[in-house]
Amino acid sequence: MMNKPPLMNPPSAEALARVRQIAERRLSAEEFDAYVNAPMSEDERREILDSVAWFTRRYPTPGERLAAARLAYKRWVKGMP
Amino acid sequence: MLADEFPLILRLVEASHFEEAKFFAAIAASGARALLIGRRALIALGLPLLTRDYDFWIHADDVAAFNAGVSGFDLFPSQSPEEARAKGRYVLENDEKVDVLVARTVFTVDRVRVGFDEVWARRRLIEVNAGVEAVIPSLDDLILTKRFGARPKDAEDIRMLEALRSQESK
Repeated sequence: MMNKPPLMNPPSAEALARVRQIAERRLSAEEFDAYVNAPMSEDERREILDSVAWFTRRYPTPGERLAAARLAYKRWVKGMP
Repeated sequence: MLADEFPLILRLVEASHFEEAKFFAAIAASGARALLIGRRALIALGLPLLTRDYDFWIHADDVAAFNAGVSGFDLFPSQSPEEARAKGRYVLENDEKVDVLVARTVFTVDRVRVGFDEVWARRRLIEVNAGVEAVIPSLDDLILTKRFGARPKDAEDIRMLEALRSQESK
């Protein structure tokens, strides 16, 4: 019989706030351009286009896509500490 | 006294019955020149992303019309139209959060001047639901607006929009 895996504790609110602060910071023009202009591999490009193809196939209209994103966000928030 | 105020208090604290299609229809009916920008615009175009906010860039003269248009959704402006124009942005909030940019011009992180009137002239329509349209910037202008905030996620969004543009140009 398999042992039950240990329970994973979600990150603390403080840790999330710190991550949010890092993610929301304003980059300098140089940092921003370095990020935007980094070469895009064919794999990355395909991954983006595949995700767009899936999303637009699953939710054909803008209204359906917006509604799906609203629902997904609400579910995501419920799972946050 | 309390009995008189209670319905108002209840209205303020109860969850709003937000219907997205009606929200966009109300904005269209308001007559305000309002561009949907930010991640909601990207989602409408087909990028699977998460976001809490709605972001709009509206004409500086249309703050009152925009606010009146969405007042039926219990969205309360953080500032008066005059204050919002002076500051260049404000928030409408209840359960939903709507960030509103009201500046006539905005500069990108690399100091490129972007004027509302020019972006508005190049606008595109998307049909959110049957008979309900929203206005978004052209793909090139949407990329420019992503250079206003210059956060890491804006850079990531631009890379996705560039991939989308590369496909559309084929």
